[in-house]
Amino acid sequence: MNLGELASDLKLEEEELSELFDLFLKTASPELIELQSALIGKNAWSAERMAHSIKGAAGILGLMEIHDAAKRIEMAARMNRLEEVEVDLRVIKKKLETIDEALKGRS
Amino acid sequence: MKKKILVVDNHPVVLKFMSQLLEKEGHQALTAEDGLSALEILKTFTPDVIFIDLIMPHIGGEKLCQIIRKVPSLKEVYLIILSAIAAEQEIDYASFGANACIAKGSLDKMAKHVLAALEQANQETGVLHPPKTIGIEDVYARNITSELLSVKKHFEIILNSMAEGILEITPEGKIVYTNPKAISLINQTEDQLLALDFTGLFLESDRQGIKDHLMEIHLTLQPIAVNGPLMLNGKQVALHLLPVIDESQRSIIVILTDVSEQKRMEAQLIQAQKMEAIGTLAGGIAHDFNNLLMVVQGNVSLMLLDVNSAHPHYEMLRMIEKQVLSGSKLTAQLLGYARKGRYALRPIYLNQLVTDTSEAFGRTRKNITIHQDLAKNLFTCEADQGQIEQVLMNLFVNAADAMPEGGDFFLRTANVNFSEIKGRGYIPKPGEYVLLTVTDTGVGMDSKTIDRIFDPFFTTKELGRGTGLGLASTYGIVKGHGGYIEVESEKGRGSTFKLYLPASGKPAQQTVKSSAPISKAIGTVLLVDDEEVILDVSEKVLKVLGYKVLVARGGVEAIEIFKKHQDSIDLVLLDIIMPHMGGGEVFDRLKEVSPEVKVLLSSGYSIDGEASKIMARGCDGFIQKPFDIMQLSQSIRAILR
Repeated sequence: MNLGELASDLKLEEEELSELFDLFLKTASPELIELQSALIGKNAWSAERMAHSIKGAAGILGLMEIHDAAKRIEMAARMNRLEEVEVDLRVIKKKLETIDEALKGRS
Repeated sequence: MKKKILVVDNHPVVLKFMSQLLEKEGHQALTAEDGLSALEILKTFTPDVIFIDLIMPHIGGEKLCQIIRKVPSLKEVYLIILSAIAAEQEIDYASFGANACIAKGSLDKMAKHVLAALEQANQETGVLHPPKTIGIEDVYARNITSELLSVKKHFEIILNSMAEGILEITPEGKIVYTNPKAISLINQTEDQLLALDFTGLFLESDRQGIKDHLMEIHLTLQPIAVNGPLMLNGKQVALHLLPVIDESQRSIIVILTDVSEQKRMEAQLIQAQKMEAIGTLAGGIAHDFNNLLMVVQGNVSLMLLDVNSAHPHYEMLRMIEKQVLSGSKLTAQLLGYARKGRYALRPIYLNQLVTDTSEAFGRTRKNITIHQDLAKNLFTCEADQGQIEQVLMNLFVNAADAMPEGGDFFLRTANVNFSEIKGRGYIPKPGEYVLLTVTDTGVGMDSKTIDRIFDPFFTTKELGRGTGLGLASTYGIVKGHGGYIEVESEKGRGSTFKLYLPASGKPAQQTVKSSAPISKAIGTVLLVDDEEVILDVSEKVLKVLGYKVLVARGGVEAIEIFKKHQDSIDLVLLDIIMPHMGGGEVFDRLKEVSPEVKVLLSSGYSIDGEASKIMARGCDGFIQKPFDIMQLSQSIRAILR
């Protein structure tokens, strides 16, 4: 992940973007854990809300892969098809790790 | 121009991005994560522009705008909606007081639109324009949240339709949501309620208790029911406090239930039960007293037969007889209250009774002017004339006592339909009623006194003057007649009693008072009673009257004797309340033996309706203990005639 490029796309300083990403990680990570436990507990309502929240923040930050995966989870949860979300969950997890690594690489 | 700006959004990324952007432009930016926090900041910070998200916990964007617009110092502030919803649907942001609306999209596009909106704010300074959402063309996705929005609207409709008031409050007690029912219960507008301290709605004395409950729920996360009830806006309410645990926040749902009506009904039921219990007690006492007075009266009657008016004991015996009469009036009041003395029902014409009784009363209270307004064509009502006279006397005496210096006394009668009776706490049975209104210009009563005036033994009169039974028996008698009684009064403004008696379609019957002198009678009477002293005195009285007397000490013995002597027995004088076999059963068995048997019931008391039931089965008459020799003679003669 090239933070400089992403920052430039969003017309932000790299420093500013890394602060926003840091905040995003801080909110999305617990939401992801909540999402996972909702999936285990078959709580479709909670899963839908968590996916919705992750999707919104990812969209604002231009993290479209996370946004799209979260959107698919949200839709599946709404239709109570929680068994379909495994792949997208892995995508989000992976991408969050990538962001985390990129931020660590900067510091 | 540099501005003071407040950004209200529940997502930290948006808040961070906005403060970075705005500060880079040289503006002063503060942030708040929900509506409630924003209102807190606005107490000390007056911004030029506020960016507001629509969907937020603890007071959403729309409500926040409405509240801000009502604060005089914030009327000119430029409000910009910054929302993802704007990407999904048209928002009439001007309707809730916002000046512009930006659809949330990716940060670069949002930055452009935010700066453009600020530029627009510079030029417009608070002027509202036709709504046009900025940035819709740049949003990254459409139709994402529309379904969620429709779900939200659906829940809103459900909450708006609830019969209970529903509030959401923060753990600190600040109101952040209220449904329409709660608004009407509390009787304040939504704008006034939002961000208000919930406990402040209640009486000072209740606040600490509610705070303790909120603390408890915060610690235990268990629902709490406060059935109190608590006073809220003049109503009695019960509270149910339910903890809500969200992913990001905690709040408390309060369900407000108006229990005023329920509590009133409960109080009424308790009052009715109390009256019933005291009634049973009063009836029992009256019964025993009447039997006791019967023995005194019977013996005095017998003694008076043996002495002439010159005898030194004559006046003393008359005095005893007078006291027995006073005693029997007292027990009649008790029986009236206990609703156990209603025997002689017949259609009566209330106007005549009111005229006769008030004239008799007026002669004793010359300083009271009686005004009558009696309806022509008044319906008759089926009633016990003696008891209704007692009711009228009670009301008249009370009215007169309320006017010690004299005054005016208004009596009015009218025909009314049940639909016109607007009673408190009862639903009148359908039908026509006769209404008697008794109004005085006396001292009146306060509400505490009104609440208790029908309680037996409650009196405001000085010791020795009032028995506390007058209105209690009035109440019992009216109820016993299937009627209703109401009172309206205010301290210093007189009192009005309204008495409703069910109308009867039957023509009125005149009472015939026999004044035939006692003369030697012929015949045989079977005397049935379980009390030796009553048997003793009654036997003597009957013998004095000239009857042959057969005595039975109970129901079984009475039937045996009757079977043996039925051809010679002319009348059975039958007590109602007896152990083993009561008067009702004895009557039925006697009728089986001889359908022609004549029976005169006698009692100091009757189980509610028992005497009436026996009368309805064809019994020939009833005589209330204590009776004197003349009354007994007349009652027997009326049957044997």
